[in-house]
Amino acid sequence: MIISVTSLKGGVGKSTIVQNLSVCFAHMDYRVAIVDTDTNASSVHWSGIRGEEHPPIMVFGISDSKALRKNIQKIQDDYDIILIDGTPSLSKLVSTIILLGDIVLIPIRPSGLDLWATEKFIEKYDQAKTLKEDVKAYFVLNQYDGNININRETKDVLDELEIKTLKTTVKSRIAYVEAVVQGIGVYEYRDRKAKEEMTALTKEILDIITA
Amino acid sequence: MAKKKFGLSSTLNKNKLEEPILPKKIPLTKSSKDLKDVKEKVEALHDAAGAVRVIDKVEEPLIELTFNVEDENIGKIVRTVQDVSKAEVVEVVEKKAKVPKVKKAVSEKPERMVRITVDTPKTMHVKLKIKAIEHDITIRDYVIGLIKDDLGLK
Repeated sequence: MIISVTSLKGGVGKSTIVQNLSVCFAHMDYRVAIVDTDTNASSVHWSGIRGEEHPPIMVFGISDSKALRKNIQKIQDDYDIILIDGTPSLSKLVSTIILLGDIVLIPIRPSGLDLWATEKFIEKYDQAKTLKEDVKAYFVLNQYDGNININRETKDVLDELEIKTLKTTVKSRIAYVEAVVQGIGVYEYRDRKAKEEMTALTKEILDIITA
Repeated sequence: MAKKKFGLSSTLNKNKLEEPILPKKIPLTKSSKDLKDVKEKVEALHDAAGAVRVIDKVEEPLIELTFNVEDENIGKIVRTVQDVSKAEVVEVVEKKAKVPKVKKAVSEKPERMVRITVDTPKTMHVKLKIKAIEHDITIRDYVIGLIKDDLGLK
């Protein structure tokens, strides 16, 4: 099963979501691997500081579309779930990531700039659709606060789009930052609300995958 | 002690929040994506240099946009919309343009508003919404602003 997490904008929380989902899947006893395609290799660094007392998560750094296609088959033989941590560019690599994913997650923060980047993503998604490709893509609202008007308005705009938005939203919490620097996910951290969010997100994604 | 004395133990335990539990592991199927097919599709989406190639899209359904404009601008709006949009749009607006003009009020009363309706492709409508939200304005404000700019109105 391949879960692609991508967006055309940097800093939207792709790696945070990939790392935290991988931790949840690993705690469910799945064999989990992350393919980090981003040049800043944050998931690769994260795996470097991950302690051995936690369930293992293998991280591969691949930043070329051809190499990704060639290696993904082998990785699939050894792992139940592969999370692809995308890169923010309109490249062949991103097209490959979108087309490879059994499900494509697009993290988005409720801001105008993120929406602007999303427009370009939707164009690309439409093009993939034009090729009769069955791409299951979903927005994940990251750093979302339902009490802020602009956040709710962004959600309204997203609800109008062809790409659906996951019901689970991820709030802006210090736990995500603190967990990352310790090489863990919030599921292994002490913030219960962050844990709840990631558990709900994992459940929702599994429901879609198995539907 | 106090908890026991006042019988709070059971209440406090009742309110104790449970740790979130992950769902049980279920067998997952291996990805069915054909890698050769993925390669061909990626090549189709990009040219040799890797730049995104534009692919013709299927015709989209039109969405009706409705907003009020000041009465005296109707004749001019027909021209403006004609410049930027499709034949269907022009037809709708022209019909609205035949509405007889009302004499401009002398008093300081707010000017009478006239509602015009235009059909836009779904994608344009979405882009309009995104543009409007980016600038924290309504679609009406955005469209009226464009028209005013183009016509040099206040």
